[in-house]
Amino acid sequence: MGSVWGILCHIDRPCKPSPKESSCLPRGFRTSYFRPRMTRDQITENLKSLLRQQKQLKIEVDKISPESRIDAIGFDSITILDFVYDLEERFKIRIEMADLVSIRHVKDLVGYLEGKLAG
Amino acid sequence: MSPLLKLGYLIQLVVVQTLLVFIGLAPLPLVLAAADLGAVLSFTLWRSRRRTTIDNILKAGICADERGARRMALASFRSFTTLIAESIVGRRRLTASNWAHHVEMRLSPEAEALLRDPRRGLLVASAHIGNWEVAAHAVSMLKPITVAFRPFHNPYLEKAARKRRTGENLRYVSREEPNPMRFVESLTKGEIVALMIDQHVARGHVAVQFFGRPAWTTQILAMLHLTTRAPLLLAFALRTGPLRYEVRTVGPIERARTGDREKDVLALTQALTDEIEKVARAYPEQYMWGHRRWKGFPGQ
Repeated sequence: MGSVWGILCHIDRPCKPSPKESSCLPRGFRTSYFRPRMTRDQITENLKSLLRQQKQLKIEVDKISPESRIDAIGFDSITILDFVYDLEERFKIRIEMADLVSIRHVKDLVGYLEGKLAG
Repeated sequence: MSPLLKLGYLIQLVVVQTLLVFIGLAPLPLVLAAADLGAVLSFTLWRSRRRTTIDNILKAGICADERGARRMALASFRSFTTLIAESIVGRRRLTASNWAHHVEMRLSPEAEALLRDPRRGLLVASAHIGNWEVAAHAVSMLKPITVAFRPFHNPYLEKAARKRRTGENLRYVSREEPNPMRFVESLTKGEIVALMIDQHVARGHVAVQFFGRPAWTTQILAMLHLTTRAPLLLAFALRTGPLRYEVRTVGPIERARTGDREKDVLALTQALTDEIEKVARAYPEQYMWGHRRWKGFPGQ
């Protein structure tokens, strides 16, 4: 079972469910199997593509660097939440409130996503 | 800002400050009588607002004819001027030791548990019914609260109002706040983030049905709930007598996240709006009908 999911999702980790994962899922089943595994560059590209899709955000995505501050990109209190929602859906993750406020720069976000996707 | 506009704003500030001094010093019955007179005068003289109020009452189907709508509109004006007067008086008289004497909290066990949990952030939707200023002030006695508000055009009045309304556990933050994470930060501290969601907004909105008609409504509260998973309540304070209120809550209101952001926002905002509609139907004389709630749609 584990190897099938591993092949499908390009994940080759052992099937040991963490205590945080839902107990209603079959034994050995990890929710992270649905998460795409990505390199840092792929994460960055995905972020840029998501930013381009934000209809109400008027920014030049290519001018954003890893050092850019998230709050200086051009978000307002609604567009930032739209972005977070889309981010969670795109990467199949859940971003906790406390993590959300601690992420200050684009590079922090990329690093955070990298950590989340690594399980 | 042109000198003439600046002068106009300063005159407004002086008039308001003078009224505040009067309301602060005068006994409550006199203040309420003055508020009543203010309602009758504004209803008589402010024709455009009176017309909007009557039209909205008719559109909502609260009254079947013009005469009934006119009576209801005057009651709504009275409710609003009483709110202003009692909010000013209440700021001085409602303290941590006596507020429970003025405000009865009728909460569901779930809502009470959420309000008394100091660690858990909470989202509260409210509406222009009863006395929303007192509702925020009373709830701040249980849990720190950040109220998102629409700033006044007059910057002097804005500064004075914000200073006056802010309390120990009560902060007012503009909806135009430059820090996009301001409301999320409040939630992470275990505070309440409260917002009035029954006004027309021009941006960041979703079209919901209010009394069977489309109305633009802010989507910020729904988005805060969908992304932070903070519980969401509807809360309001009904006036039951002079400086007497009953705070009621509805919820927690929940909708499962589907992965379609726009659909989720609409479902949640509609659910909140439906609850507001029920309250406005039950207590129409305490609802503020003067907003151009259905603005921005053809034929409205």
